[in-house]
Formats: sequence, C-alpha cells, structure tokens
Amino acid sequence: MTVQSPNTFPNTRTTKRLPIAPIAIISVVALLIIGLGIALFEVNQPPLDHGAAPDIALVTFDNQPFKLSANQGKIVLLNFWASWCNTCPGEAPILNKLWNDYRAKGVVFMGIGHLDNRADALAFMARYEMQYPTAPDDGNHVSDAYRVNQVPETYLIDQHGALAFVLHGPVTADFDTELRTRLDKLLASQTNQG
Amino acid sequence: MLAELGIITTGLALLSALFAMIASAYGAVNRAERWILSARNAALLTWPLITTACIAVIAAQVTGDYTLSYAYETTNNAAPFFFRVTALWGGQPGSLLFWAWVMSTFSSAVILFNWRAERRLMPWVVTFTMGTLGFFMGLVVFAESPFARFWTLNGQTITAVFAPAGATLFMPGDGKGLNPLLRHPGMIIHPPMLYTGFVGMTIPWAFAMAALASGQLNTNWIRATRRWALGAWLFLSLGLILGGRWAYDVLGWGGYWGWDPVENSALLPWLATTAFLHSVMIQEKRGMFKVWNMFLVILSFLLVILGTFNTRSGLVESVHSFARSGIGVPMFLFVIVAVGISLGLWLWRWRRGDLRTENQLDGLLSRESLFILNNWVFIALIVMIAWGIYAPTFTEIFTGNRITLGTEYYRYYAVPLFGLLYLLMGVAPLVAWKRSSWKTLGKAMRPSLIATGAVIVLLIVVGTTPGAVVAYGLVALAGFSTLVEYGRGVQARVRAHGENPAKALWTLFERNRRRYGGYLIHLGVVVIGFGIIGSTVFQQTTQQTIDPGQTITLGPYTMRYDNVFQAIADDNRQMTIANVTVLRDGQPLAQLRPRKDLFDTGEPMTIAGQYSTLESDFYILLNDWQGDRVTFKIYLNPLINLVWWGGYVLIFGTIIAAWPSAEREAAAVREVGAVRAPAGEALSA
Amino acid sequence: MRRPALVFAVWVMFCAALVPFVFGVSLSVFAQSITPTPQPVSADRVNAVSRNLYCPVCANTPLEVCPTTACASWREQVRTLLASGQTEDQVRQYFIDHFGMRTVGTPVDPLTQVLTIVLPLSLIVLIGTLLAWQALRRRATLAADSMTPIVPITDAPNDHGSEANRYRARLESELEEP
Repeated sequence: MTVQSPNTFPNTRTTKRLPIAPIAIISVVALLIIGLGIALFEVNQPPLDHGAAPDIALVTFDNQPFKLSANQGKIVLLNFWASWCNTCPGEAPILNKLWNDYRAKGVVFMGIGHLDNRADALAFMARYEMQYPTAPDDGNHVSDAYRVNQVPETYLIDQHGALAFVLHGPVTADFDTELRTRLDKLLASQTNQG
Repeated sequence: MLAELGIITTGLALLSALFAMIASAYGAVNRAERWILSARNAALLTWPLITTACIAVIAAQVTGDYTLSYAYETTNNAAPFFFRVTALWGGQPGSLLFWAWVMSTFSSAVILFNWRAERRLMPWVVTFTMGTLGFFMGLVVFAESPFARFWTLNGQTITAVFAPAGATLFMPGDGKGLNPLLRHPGMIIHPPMLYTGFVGMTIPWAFAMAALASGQLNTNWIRATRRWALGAWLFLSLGLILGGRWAYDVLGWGGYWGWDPVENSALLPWLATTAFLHSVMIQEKRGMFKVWNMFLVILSFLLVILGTFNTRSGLVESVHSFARSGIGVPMFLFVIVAVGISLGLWLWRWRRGDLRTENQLDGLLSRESLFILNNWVFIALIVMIAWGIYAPTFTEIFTGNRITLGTEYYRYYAVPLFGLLYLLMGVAPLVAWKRSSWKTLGKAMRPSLIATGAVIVLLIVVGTTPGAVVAYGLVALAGFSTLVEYGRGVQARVRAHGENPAKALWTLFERNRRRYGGYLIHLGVVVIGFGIIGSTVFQQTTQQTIDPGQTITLGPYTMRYDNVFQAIADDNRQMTIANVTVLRDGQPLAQLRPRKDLFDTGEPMTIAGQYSTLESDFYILLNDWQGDRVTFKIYLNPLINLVWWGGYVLIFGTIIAAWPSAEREAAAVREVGAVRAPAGEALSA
Repeated sequence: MRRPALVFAVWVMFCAALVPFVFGVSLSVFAQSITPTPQPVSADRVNAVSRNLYCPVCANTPLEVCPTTACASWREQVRTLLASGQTEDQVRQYFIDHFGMRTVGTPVDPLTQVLTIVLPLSLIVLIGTLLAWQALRRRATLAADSMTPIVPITDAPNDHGSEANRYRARLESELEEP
C-alpha cells in the first residue's frame, strides 16, 4: 500500500530540500580522489638526486651538535647506515679510509644511524671501527627529509649546499674510486674560488 | 616464438576490446543492429586471443624459456610443475593478464547466456565490460607486458618487449624463482579465487550501468545478475577465508587476519556486495531501495578497482604489495573515469526521478527499515576500514608524520559494527514486512530470546568476561533466530500438508532455495562468529627456551620437546625440524614437527605444528635454536576451527541459494520474454 | 507523528555532537599502562609489550611477530628497557621518540588523533543523522499532504492461532511463486 497524494513528486515540493546525500557523496568522493592524486604524486617523487640538500640538525653519539647549514662552504659527505643492514659492514672500512684520506683537506663526514637502537649502533661502530663522526637519527626526521627508505645510502654535498652525487647502495671499491674523483674535483673548484 | 605469439594476441585483444566498446556504445545509442552484432563478435573474440596469450606465458614458464623476463622472475629449474603453471599470477604482468583472462571469460559467458533474455541491456553491458577489459589489456600491452625479453646490447643486458636495434636475445641459465612464501598450495587457489570474485563483480556493475544508460530501470537487471553477484560473493568469501588460512599456516604469527591494507582492500568489496545482496531483496519484493541498490553495486565495483589500485600503485605499504611499478598513474586515471561515469549516471538518473521508489516506508519497525539500517552499518564499516587504509598515507603527506593505524583502531569500530550486524541477523528475519509492532516482534522472537538467555546464563556460570558474554550472546541470537525460521517453516508445512518434518525441511530447500540457502549462509556466518570471538578474545600464548626432554604447558595441553634435527629438502632449502609430543593430562595425543625453513635466497619460513580440535588449536612454532636448545612459541587458539568449518557451511549455503530450479528459470524467461518484445524489434541475435 | 520524530532526530544529533568528546576521552584507553614487574623479563612479557608496537621499517607489522633481524634487535631493546624497570608506557614513548609515531597503532598527538579518528566518524554520524531527519520529515510531510493518517495495521488481540495462520498462508504463497 502506498501513501501518496496526487501531486507528490519527489522533486517538485513547495519547499526545495537541499539534496544532502548527493552533495555528501560527491564531496567525499572528490576529496578522496584529490587526496589519492596528491598521495600518488608524492609517492612517485624520485629519490633525492639533485638540487639543494635539505638542512639537517643532529646530535652525534659524542654529544656534539651538527648542522648542515653551519657547514656551508665545506664539502660534506653523509652516509646513512644501520646495524641491521647486511651491506654496511662491507662499506665501513672503505669509508674509514676515505675519511682518513680527506679529513685533512676539510671534507666533513657524517654517518647517520637510520632506525637503529643506540646499543646496537654503538656495538656496530665499535666492531667495524667507524672513526668518522656518527649521529643517531632520532625521530627519523633526517631520513624523512632525504627520503631514505633503505640503507646504506651516501650523499655528497658540495660547498654551495647542493647535492653533487647520490649513491643508493653500499660504497663498493668502484664507487669509492668515483667518490674520490668527485671529491678531488670539488676540492679543486673550491681552491679555485676560495 | 612464444613471445611473438603473446605480443600479437594481446595486441589484437586490446584492439578487439576497444572496438567492441566503441561499436557497442554507438550501436546502442543509434539502435544500429549491425554495429551491435559486430561489437558482440569482437567481444567474443577477445577470449581465444587472451587464452592463447596465457598459454604462451605458461608454456614459457613450464619449459623454462628464461628469455622471457617474466619466466625468469617467477620460476626456476627446481620448481615443480604445478608451481610453474600457477606462476602465471606470480608477478604483476602475469597477474594483470590473468585478470584480463577472467574478465574476458565472464564477459563472453554473459554475452552467450544472456543475449536473448536481456536484449535491450546487452549492448551497453558489452560496452562497459569491454571498457574495463580494454583498460587492463592496455596495461598489459603498454605498461607491464609478460612478454618482455632479455636482450644483450653492447655487453649490457636490458629488458624490452621489442628488440632494440642490433641486440641479440639473451637467455639466463636459470630463473630467479617464485618468492618462497608463494610456494604453497594456497598460492594455487587463493589468487584465482579472489580474482574471480573481483572480476565477477564487474558483471553486475556492467548490467547496472547498462540499465542506467539505456533507461531500462526495472528490476530485470537485478534478476539477470543475481547469480553473478552471488557467485562473485562466494569466490570473494572463499578468497578471504583461504587467505586467512594460508596466513595461519605459513606466516607463523598464530593469527589469520592482520588488518593489513591489502587484506582490507579485498574485504571492502565483500562488504559492499553483501550489503547489495541483501538490499536487492527489498527492491524485488517491494520496488524500494532502487537508488541504494544502484549505489551499492557501483560501490562494489569501484571498491574492486580501488583495491587493485591500492595493491599495485605503491600507495599503501603492505607485505602483500606488488613491487612499485609505473602503473599507478594509469590506474588512477581509470579510477577517476570509472567513478565519474558510474556515479555520474547514477546521480543523473536519481535526480531525474527515474529511480523513484514504488512504495514508501510504512513503519519505523519493519523489515524494510531494518534493511536500511543494515545498509548503513555496512557503509559505516566500509568507510572506517577504507579510512584506516588511507589515513597513514594522507597524514604523512599533510602533516609529515607517518602513523600506523593498527589492530586497535580496526577492532574499536569493527567490533560494535559487526555486533550490530549480528543483532540485525537475529531480529530482521522475524520482523514483518511493511509494519510491525514491538509486541508482535517480541512474540516472534520469544523462542530465540529464551534460548539466547539460556546461553548467556551458561556463560556467566562457566565464567567469562562481560564483553565475551555480550558478543557470544549476539552471535547466538542470530543463530537461534535463523533456526527458528527453519522451525516455523517446517511447522507450517507440517500443519498444512501433513508432511513429516524431514520431508518438510527438504521441501523448504527445494521450493525456496534463495531464502533457506541464505539462512544456511547466516548459520555459517554465526559459526564463523563464534570462532572469531574465541580465537581472538581468549587466545593464549607463551614463548620459552628449553632443552630436549623439557615441557611447556599452555592451557590444558603440555608440549614435550623431544629432539631437533636438520634436513635439506629437494629445492635446497635448509630445514630445522623439532620433534615434539603433545600431551593432555599426561596422555600423549600427537607427535608434531614444527619447523623453520631457510631458502637458498635467504628467506625464512616458519611452519607450525598444529594439534587441531573443534575446541581449540594447540599451535607450536619453532622460533630459534642454538644447538639443542630451542625457543618455542606456542599459541592456544580456542574455537579457531569454527572459522574454517563455518566457511564450509557458508559455501554450502551459497551453492544452495544459487542453485537454479527448473520451473522457476523457465517461468522467469517466459516472463522476461513477454516484456521484452516491443513491436518491430528483432529478438534473435 | 511529527513531534516524536523531531524529538528523536534532535536526540540523535545531540548524541552525534557528543561523539567527539566521548571518543576523545575513550582514546586515552589506548595509552593505558600495565604495572611494572620486577626483573628478570620473560619472553612473554617482551612479546606482550611488542604486540602493541609496530616495526619501524616494515609496514603494519607488529613488532612481536616481525621476522627480520632488525626486529629481533628491537625486541631486545624492549627487553633491555623493561629489565631496567621501565613501564610499558615508557617503552612506547622511547620508540615514539626514536622511531616516530609509526611504531604505535594509533596516533599519539591530539591533532592527528582528531584528524584521523574523531573527524571521520563524527562526519558519518552527522551525515547519517541529517539524512535520517530528512527522511523522517519527508514521511511526515507526505502524511500531512495526503491528509490521510497513516493507519496502523492493528494486530488481532492475542490471537496466536490466526497469526500463525497468516504466517503459514504467506509462507505458502511465497513457496509457490516462481
């Protein structure tokens, strides 16, 4: 049994009702699609390969503060590692040697512990005799800034604060040679300008 | 040879699908019969083409033709035959092709079986199914081709579909092989079940869209697709249950559902389809809920597409995700187009008044109003779970902080909402149509309420938490109400026809399979509900490190660790196996062999030793070992086997509900045929 | 018929408005701690605490069951912290400080809590209530327009027999229909 009056059409009422349901549905769907679009764009962002290096602030394991912007004018090498990373032990001695060779020339090294426990990180550093300054990335802010999801990664930043070279992977002997070449080139350009 | 065959057939299938889509739409709009028939043939042509392409991929995997990079990625020389065949869906490109094949199979079946009966809708059905198929074939042909091969060029190995100038074909000696976690019988059936369910929901959607596009908005589109929707729902349910069982057996965390984003993405279309299957009953009976039903079937399809997008775009982080690929953007565009066209057509017809209800809601307490509530509960579940999938990604983008929405969040909302669903299951079958009073309802519910009361008293006496009492009570109420419905039906037949109860019950099933099969599905859901409550709320676990001869006790069971040994399996995996004995009250019950496998790729897999009874699962994991000293992790999962057994009841009920009955089919076809023949329009294809 | 519907609608909207406060309060349930136990720390205790933490690297994987070596060292970290006398709350805080909010299953700062949990739910309830109210008003308007009161179908008083007869008749007709 239907309850209808002669002139009852849902769309021709005397009072125009706001079509809440369609508006709600369209808004929700539109918001979702816009959100997904933005998310897709962000997710598809290529890893940080060039451009200005994001500024970072850290406190090393020796309680020394480190700020990238404070090292403007110097060449900086950032290396992201973790105690649980399989390939990090392999690159540790190579990086040590690199550090020893270039520290006198004013190159700044900073190892950044990515998603690691303090105790495990210190044990790793002791075991593989890491000599260059290292800092834990508390709160994961630095890794987020550099879009680091896997370790190890190495970032070479020139004296102007721009990314000169990015390595997504361990520093093998080949990459060590490449890093040295680039460091020499950057140091040469630094003395030319300075 | 295989690659060339595949490239040609997939290319032709893509062209065929696109032609069918355009020609069918043109023919439908302009009533041009020749175009419609041409489109129909093109649509049917896609099936042999895509089947050939699939066979080509499988042939490459079975014969070990590693020039195809897909065969290299998904099989290796050591893989047994059935894992080679199922490797078709072992990676992204092949799974897209497999999806397209299922889509093509279903479209062809729909065209062949429904062409006469739904003559006015079929051209549009072809348009929409071929549009979807065309998209997936486009992905296969242009983005993720399973026929990409290895080429050597200037000493470098590259992967490409077509030969770069001056390159030669390269064949690696052995393949990489399937991810060890996928080398399990579950891999053979879980993905096909899910894909069948997902793709199955495309058919009701295509019919709904055809109804919206053509203006044929009477109930025929529902009748035509009811079995498709039920079948798709069955396969979705199976896929979900099998996935849970697989996780329980090999993932080694004692559970079967982790509220993982990809799991949730498969659950969402299941929820929408369940709501749809219920809501259409109201349209068939009283011509109401037309707007709702259109929305629900469109929502089911859109959630399927969204789920595929989630899994393959890299947008959500999950252990299930495919490797990041470039198809995120094309899929997103397809989502926008699908959403736009579907919701656009729906809103247009709604505002035009074409989806006007034939009857109004008479009483606030009535079968119809409870079904409205049912729809809303499902929508709320869908929204909360969908939000759980996306919120971490959205908050990361807009606030910079990555959060996790874990089990606590989901249980917080899922528990009361599912509780409400069980309550509805317990009340709605006993509420009258149109209008009921509390008095009538109370009278109808008295037997089930008394029985539930007895269960609650029993639980309190036995001693359990208040939350569990409420939960068990609600599930029991649903179960008893369903049994009452069977009882009343039998009683009515016994009184009217003097049949004996057994014959009466049989006749009930024979005469109204939909309803009584449906009630059986409800009983299955009730059994599953008991299983979920028991295994979630009352799960016990312990982890201990012991030497041979020592025991661990959990609940009524004791496990005695006898010894541990190493072994190497055929595929070079290293197995560490412990022999344990399960005892209860000092009596040995079983010998189990929990083990930990280490594959040559370095990946581990933990296989539990399970002592399963209806009462509980005594579930033993070998976590770690040092010499003879082994760390065991043991779970006691009460009532968990009810989850699987409830699944069997659910399957059985669905088969009954979907089973065609001869007289009804003939009558339906006659009736539809009578409506279908306007003057001058040819009926024959 | 109009008045009770209005009352009902207003009551539901009031409840909906109350929802954010209710949820805001009850979310504190997530932050409950269990009393600290003396050392040594059993594997079960570590597991119980790890159950509510999530692997910082893998997605949506509870720390208790994550199989990677990294997670094993994180569970050791949990054990160390518990052994030094810290409560579960403090362990959670340690993980949030060092590894971010992704390590716990619900967001901790109020702003994100509101954004992710309170807001969507309140929106659904509000929209649902508005729609329900609209539907009820439409029913009331229809009734007024048609000027025929909606006559309730009265039950036959206490007539169990005829009720059963009606049910049986309906059942039979349903079973016979194609």
